[in-house]
Amino acid sequence: MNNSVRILHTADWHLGAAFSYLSHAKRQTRKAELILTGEKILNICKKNEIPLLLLPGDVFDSNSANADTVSAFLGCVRKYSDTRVVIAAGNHDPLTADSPFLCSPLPQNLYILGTNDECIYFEDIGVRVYGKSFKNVYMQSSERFSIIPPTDDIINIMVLHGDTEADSNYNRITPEFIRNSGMDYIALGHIHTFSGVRQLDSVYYAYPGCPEPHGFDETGEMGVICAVVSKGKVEHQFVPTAARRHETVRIDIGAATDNAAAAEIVKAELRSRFGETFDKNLYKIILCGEIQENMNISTDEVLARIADDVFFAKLRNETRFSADLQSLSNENTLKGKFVKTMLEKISAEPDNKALDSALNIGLRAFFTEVKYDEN
Amino acid sequence: MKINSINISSFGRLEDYKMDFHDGFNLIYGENENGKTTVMEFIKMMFYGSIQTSRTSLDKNARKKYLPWSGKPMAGSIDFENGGVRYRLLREFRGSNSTDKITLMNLDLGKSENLTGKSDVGYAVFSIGGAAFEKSVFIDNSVVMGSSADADGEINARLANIKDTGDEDVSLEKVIKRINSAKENLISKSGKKGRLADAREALKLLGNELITAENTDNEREKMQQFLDTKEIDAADILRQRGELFEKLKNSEKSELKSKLLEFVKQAELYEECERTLTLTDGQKASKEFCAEIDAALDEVTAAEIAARQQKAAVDALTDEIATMQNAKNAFADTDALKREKASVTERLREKETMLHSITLAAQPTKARFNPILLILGALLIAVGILGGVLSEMPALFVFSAVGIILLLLSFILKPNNKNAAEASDAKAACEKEINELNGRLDELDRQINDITVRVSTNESIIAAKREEALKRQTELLNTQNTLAALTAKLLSLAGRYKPLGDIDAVRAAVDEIENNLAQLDRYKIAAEYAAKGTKCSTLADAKEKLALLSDTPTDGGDHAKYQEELGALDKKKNALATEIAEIKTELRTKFKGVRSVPEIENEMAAIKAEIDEMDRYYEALLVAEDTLNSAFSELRRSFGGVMEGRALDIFARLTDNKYSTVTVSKNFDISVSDRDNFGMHSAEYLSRGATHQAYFALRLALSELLGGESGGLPILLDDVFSQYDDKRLLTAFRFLAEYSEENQVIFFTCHGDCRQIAENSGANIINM
Repeated sequence: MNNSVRILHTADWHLGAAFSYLSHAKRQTRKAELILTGEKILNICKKNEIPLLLLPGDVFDSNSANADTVSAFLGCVRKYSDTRVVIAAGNHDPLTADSPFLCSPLPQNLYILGTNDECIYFEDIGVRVYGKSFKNVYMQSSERFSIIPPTDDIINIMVLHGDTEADSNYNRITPEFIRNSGMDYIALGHIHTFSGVRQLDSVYYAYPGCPEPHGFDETGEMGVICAVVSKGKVEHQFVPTAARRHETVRIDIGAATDNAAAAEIVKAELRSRFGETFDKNLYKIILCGEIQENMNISTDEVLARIADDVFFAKLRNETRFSADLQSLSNENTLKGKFVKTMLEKISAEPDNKALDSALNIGLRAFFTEVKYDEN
Repeated sequence: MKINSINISSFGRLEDYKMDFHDGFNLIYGENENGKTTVMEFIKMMFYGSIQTSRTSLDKNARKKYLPWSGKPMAGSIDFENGGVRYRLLREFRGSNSTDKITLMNLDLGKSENLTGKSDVGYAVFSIGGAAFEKSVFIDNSVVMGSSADADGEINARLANIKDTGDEDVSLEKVIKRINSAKENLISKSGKKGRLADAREALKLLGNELITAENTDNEREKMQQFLDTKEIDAADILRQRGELFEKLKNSEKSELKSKLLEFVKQAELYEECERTLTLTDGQKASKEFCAEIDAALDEVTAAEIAARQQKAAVDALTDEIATMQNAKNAFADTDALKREKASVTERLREKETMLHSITLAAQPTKARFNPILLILGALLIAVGILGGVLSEMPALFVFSAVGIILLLLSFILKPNNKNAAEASDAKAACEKEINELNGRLDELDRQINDITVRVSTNESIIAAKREEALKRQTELLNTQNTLAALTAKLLSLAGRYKPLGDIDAVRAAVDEIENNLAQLDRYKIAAEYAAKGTKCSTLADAKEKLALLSDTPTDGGDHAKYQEELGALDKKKNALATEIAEIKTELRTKFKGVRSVPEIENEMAAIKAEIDEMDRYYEALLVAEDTLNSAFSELRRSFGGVMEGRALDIFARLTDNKYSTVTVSKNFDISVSDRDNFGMHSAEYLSRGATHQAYFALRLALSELLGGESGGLPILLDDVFSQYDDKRLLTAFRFLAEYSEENQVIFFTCHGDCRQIAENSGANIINM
């Protein structure tokens, strides 16, 4: 009997996601990259002789995923037949009658947990895998899993899609649930960023996040968890898998004298932060810093100047004019009175970001056109 | 700043019209229809183009109103001096301000100035926009300032930056306009357009879609629940099927076990039976073996029968011999007959003697036969026999036949004896008696002869019988020997089965073997029958399987009933499977293409985030706008005193210090208080002339303030004193004369008294 098992924990692939903010061609590229990343993950299992891949839900962005996407996924799993893939369907791809998992012939190495508490015993690797799939878009939480694992040497792992946030309709997972589960490891899905491997009493649990980001709320390194689970111990490694990163970056273009210079600063900064492969990524760039009064930053122009250097970018202008606010506030002018009044308001409500923004907007309006500047 | 001259190429009714202006006070006099207002409008339009455009109102469309009557292009030039530099502004009016051809010549340098915004040339010269120009330095006979947001905004903005810091670039109107533009970029005035409005609308639509999706989800969930109940039913049926299958399996196992048990039983009986049929040489008794014994037995039986028959024959012969011997013995006992014959013969002799006596007494005695025929007959018989035998000629036997006939005739053809009558009776009686005696004697002779013959015959027969009996006895002995041999052989053969004492035992053994063989067949058939369906061909297999079925009860229930129940259940299952398939198909197709709640929620979240950002920005815009307004109010409070003070100063001079206070609202509404009455009064409550004076004072104050440090602006006045009485008129012109010492004044009038008073006040009179 094995006393430990090697696993790969990934979730929230969202195959078939729309990527609606991208152009058609890039959208198709990203959709294809989701599949390729999936294959990359299975290949990690193969190379590292990981017998068990845990996939707690949202494999597909919806049950309406097109046939090609479903076929590509199933083909990929079938190709890596030495890896057992255990899926607990999530809120995006619940196990309803129209689920791709119920409408297609499945590879023999693919195990779909049912909508009731279930346990699959892989005797040869000494692992019991517990879990259940979403039966619908919403799933009310359970206080405890109905199948309590026996106390023995067999590794008990749960695969579950759910939300640790309070008041969630998406199978709220409470600390009590985790504590009472009797599991050695709970592979969770739903949250799109890596949570780190956490521990409650003797139970380890984690969200691996998406292996491939879908939007700017999924920034940073995205990947999967490779772990060795044994009784009372989980050794893990976070393995990056994403073909591209989504990053939100604030770039100070205060040194720029015009839009061309601002674009150069942006490119240099991106290269500096993300290396020579910065061009692969998708960026939400917030232009900031103090600029001269006579400089009119155009996000459209800056974007046009960097568009060929990155896969995708959108910009927001949060620059400020360079000004000595205290000195200005002493002027007996409209501008001076405005700055003074705004500084007083900010002082009274230092946490009110709108005031800070209002000061910047108002001051800017004295010199140039203002608008909500995000392309 | 001052205007030096104008040169109208074509403008309204004026053609190639020139007019020079002086520093200070200029009064242009002309009668009605001479073109005063046209000149004033020309000056304004040279700097600002058309400030208002209306397709319907000619008064509000100067470009149309002042189209040259000559049909030539509307054009002209104006020379002015600003900041010590002389300029010439040339303008060819076209369709709009933006298409007008404008040239600003620096006359001192002799070159054109670069006009970045040519339509704003007035702004560049006067530092105020067209609307503000109209409300300040351009004073027509409607002195009272109407509300105009743009003009008020600009004037306010201009006023708000009156020079403590020298910051002239800032315009509240512009700042607010920029902020409003940013607001409208997010939400239009109608609230229906703009990025934020669009996003909110998109969010609203998504909200509706979400409700639809949630309803769809509810519907799908209900269908799913319905499907679940069906699947539970299906699972229950499957469970029942499973149980039935188990029962069927058990019943089949029981049946198998029963069959196996039967098979084992029959097979063991077969083996047991087969063991009893095992011969001493180890071979199995068989039908052939039985046939062999039967054949031997048949031989023995045949021999027995033969022996029995032979013995019977011998016995019969023996009995026959004994009988014949007894008969012979019985024949041999002829003494009584002989004695009777002797007696009869005696008596016959006596009778015959008596007869003879009688006959002799009566007649001679007649012979009993014809001796000749007798002898001849005997002779012929002898000849025929001898001749036939010896000569081998059968025809000679005819003599014998003739002899016999003659012999018989000898007794028939005998000679007659004829005696006396008397003696005849006695004789007859005696003869009768003799005949009876002879008859008796003959009978006795015949009997004796017969006995003799028969004894003789018996003896030969007995001899023959004895010979035959002997022969038969021999045969019997042979047969008995054969029988013994066959019996020995049979016993030997049958002894291979088991030791057997006699034939009967052999027969019994053969019967037993045959019975056992038949039983063996029956066992075999029974075993084969029992083995059917067990997939066992040997007892060992069967026992092995039986061992596996040790826990299986032999009574597994009613297999047929289970199968019937299974059939019914299968029907239910199939019907349910069809129903489930239909529901699944509907579930798959009905909601196809409908976006899921999470998809919509994700999109909503993204839009909400964007809306939040825009809301924050919009809120910031509102705060900025509000703060700008309050900042302006605060500032205005500080500059308002200056403006009000200057307006009061002018107003007081125009009214001989009648009023002590002038206040000007943000919208340039004027309130005044006079020295004799307490409290402020809106200018509307003053007389028409006083109202004009008040607003005239305000406009001049504004012009001074707007002109700023760079120099006062020239003011253009179009008969503004038409409402004044003589006293006010005089006072006003005196004031203008003083005012023109600092600022160029160009006053247009059609009133001769005004010309006179102005002239008296030192004005330069220009007649049109």
